Amino acid sequence: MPDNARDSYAKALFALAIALALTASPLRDYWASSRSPWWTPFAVWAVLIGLGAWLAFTTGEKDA
Amino acid sequence: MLDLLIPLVGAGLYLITLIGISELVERRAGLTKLAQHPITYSLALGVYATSWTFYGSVGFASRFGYDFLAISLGVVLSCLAIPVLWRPLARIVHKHNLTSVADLVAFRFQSPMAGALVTLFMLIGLMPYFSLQMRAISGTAGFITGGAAPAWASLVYALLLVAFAATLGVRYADPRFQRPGLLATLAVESLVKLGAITMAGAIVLFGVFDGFSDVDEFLRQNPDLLHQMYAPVRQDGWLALLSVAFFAAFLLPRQFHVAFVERPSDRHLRHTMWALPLLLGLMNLPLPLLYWAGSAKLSLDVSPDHYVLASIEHPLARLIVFIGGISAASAMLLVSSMALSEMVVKHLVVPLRSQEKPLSYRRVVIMRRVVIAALLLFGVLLEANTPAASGLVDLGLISFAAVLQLVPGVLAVLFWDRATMRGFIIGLIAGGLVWVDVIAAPWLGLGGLHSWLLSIDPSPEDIRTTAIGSSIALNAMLFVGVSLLCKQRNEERAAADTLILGTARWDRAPETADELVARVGRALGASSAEELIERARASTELSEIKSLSQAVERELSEVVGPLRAQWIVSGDQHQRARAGTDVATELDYWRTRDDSPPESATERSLQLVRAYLDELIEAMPLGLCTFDASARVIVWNHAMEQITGASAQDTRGQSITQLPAPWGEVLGAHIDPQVTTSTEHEVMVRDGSSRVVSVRRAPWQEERGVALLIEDITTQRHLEAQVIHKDRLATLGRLAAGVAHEVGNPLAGMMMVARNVAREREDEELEERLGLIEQEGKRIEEIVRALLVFGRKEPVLQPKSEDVEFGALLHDAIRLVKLNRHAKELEWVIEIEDDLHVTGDPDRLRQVFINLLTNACDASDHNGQLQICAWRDHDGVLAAIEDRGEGIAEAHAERIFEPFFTTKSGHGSGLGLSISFAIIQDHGGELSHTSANPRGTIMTVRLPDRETT
Repeated sequence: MPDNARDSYAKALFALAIALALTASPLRDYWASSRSPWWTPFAVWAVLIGLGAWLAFTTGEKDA
Repeated sequence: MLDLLIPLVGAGLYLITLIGISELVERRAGLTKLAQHPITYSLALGVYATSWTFYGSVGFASRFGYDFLAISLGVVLSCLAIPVLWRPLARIVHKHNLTSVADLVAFRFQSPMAGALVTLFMLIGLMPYFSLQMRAISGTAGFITGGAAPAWASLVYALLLVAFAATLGVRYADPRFQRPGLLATLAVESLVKLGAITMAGAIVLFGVFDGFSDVDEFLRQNPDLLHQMYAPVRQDGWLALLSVAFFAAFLLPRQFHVAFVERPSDRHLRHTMWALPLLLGLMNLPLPLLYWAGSAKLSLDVSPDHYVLASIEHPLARLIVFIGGISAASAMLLVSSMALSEMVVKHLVVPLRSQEKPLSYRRVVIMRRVVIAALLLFGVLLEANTPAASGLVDLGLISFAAVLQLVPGVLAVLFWDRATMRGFIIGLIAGGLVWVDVIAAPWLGLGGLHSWLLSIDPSPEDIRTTAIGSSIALNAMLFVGVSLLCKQRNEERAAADTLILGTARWDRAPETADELVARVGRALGASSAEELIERARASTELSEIKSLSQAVERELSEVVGPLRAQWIVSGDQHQRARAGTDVATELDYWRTRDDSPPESATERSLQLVRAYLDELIEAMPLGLCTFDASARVIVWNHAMEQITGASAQDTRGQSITQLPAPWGEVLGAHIDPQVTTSTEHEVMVRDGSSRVVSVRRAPWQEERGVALLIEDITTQRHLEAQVIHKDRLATLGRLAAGVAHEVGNPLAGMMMVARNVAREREDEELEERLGLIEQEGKRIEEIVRALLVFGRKEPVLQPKSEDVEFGALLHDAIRLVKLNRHAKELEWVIEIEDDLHVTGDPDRLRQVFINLLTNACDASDHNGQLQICAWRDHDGVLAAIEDRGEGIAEAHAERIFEPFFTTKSGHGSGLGLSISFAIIQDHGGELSHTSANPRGTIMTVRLPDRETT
């Protein structure tokens, strides 16, 4: 695997780990609390879009 | 309420507009470019959001709160995994011209049965999804017309969708057409869906509520509503939905088709990582508002699946939202029916058709059209017979659970080369049976085996957790277990290497264009075959038969699937197993071909050139090995066999990591293109000896692989070491002679003075002290004499050259050494053959043996044994002196012949062995040492026999 591709691979795993921690770990109990505003899930969603954008704009065209 | 005709006409006009957009995009170059923009591609992937998202999510929210978000949030997670999962799949699909998951699996496991099974499973699994779309459209159509629409009106809407999907689907059913129009159509549909749902959300936000602050106030007054939304997110069902959606994002047939088959280029996936999550996020944002508006604010007395429409009162706005729903359903039906029709024709119809009838393009396209229409009509039929109580999401989940059964197989395609076809099929059947029994049968109102085996009553919660979990767990467990227990077939292994390691796949190409036409003609018919070959010829710049065959295979793959295309072109219709799939096999094949008589002058010339090059490579005194891009051995010449002890037959085609130790590691260090310098390695070869090899990477085109030159430089290094050693000795000798001369003269004077003083002064004490001076002086004199001998040993004095009776010389030396008291205490074992003669200087040779015997005596314990043997062999006269002492430590073994090196602390100049070594060398012989068994040292002198000198 070329270095660039390996780099994007590692970044993607990192982003995925953050995303899973936010959405699929017990951490979600914090934002999915009944006291949270109704738009909180969409704020989490926005963070994930940000992660996707970070991945897209920091990897080469042929690596992602 | 709207008149029945208005939504009917509106929907009809919308679908006709889409067909027009598709036509326009494919005719106008500027629009084609726009259709291939990465954002268009990401919008097209929004085909994921169907009636389920558009209408069903609100219904789902009424039962499971924010869990409806997981169905889209799973896709967002999947988008973050694009470099890890999507990207490798996209490369495989592109490289091998695959068009569906069934193709992928059939190719990986080299099994038409695996492809057929996946197709069948997808067909059954996705029918509830088709039914979902039909139900959503017919239901909402009835709703906006006030529920007064006759039953046939719902059917008319459904048939309208069938007509649309069939029209565009038929257009794209022919693989010879380019498809930019499809991406454009899907992107427009995504924008329409987004626009419609955003408009509905805005109407509710500012019409039903009074802006965001009012929504917040409303929820503060009704905290139970938020609790009901958030509570399910903290349950296990949320995780199950995330997992299902994560894989459905690229494994659902329509997603696979758009993501991988329609992907215009590599850069398109990159922007999907943020653009698709953004699209889905915007589409989901209005849904909670629509739910609260319908359920709590307006208290609508309709199915929650209809809240999106029911929350809006304005007829035109309702019509627009209805069109949005049509858009969501039609996009899904279009792409899914297209993708499934390809799978059905390739993997179910073509294999079952009569082999006697040739398969033509026209026939394939007709088959696809029929399948598309059949699928859509079956969806209508199924919807009519679906239990009315089923919510839209329940139907969707059934299909998603079916798709999940493919996950083990697809992950194996990417990451597990040991997976077998048997494991995959058994796992899929087991998981599929659980799916049918626990998930699908209850939906049709049928009691499954589980009802009396497991006492499970599958509620939607069960489907989300227990049923999905148990089916996929059983599937994965059997897949892995059976794969590990079953032997992998050669062709499976080769396909796994091709997909995972990226090794070049190669099939036996036909030798002539006529043969290619004949092979393809047998499958397609002569005219179709010629047409196809002409098209393939136009698509490749190379005219050689192999390139043409590959191009033909690519073209054929779109019609009959990659596996059958491979068989047709290779003429291997009976699927005979062939292990070799790489360049090495290709070379073997060409070598085999050389045995057959050439047919033309060109072939004769090629054969001569090839034979010449082969002989040259084999005759090279340097080891030559080449590796392809995936580090598999292609060339392994004769010198390489001699150096490594590994035969070309055993190594060719092997991965570098599979080479016998230590060659994998030694050669592997040079695979890296950054390593350009030659390096030396000391390696242990099979016979246990140590060799020094030099490895150098030949400059070559990187994409062709790597060529390494290996030279055994053991002898060269040995000779160099000897030269260096001799040079050092010569330098030391000259130095020693100079020192001896400078020290010897003053020493002689000092000793003479000491003797004179002792004679002249008759003082007893002084005489004793002067005696000590003389004694130490004599010791220095001995060292000086040894230095002089060492210094003179080379050109200063030429040794005598006379016949020496070797046995007598040895006995003479033994006798002299035995004068020593310690030597007398030893047990001497002497075995000297008679009549041994050498040519040389007897004095100097005697000196050698006195040195060696003295060392042996010094090393021996009291009453130890000393063995002296002398004999003749074919190579000269040998003498061995063996003691039972401590032996020579490994650290000293290299240095014992160096001047001034001694292990005798307190006595010994360290010159005896180096002088002996030099004298024996002067006589053309060798002096060496080995360890004796069980302990001690054997010093061996080998001298040329007189007869040979």
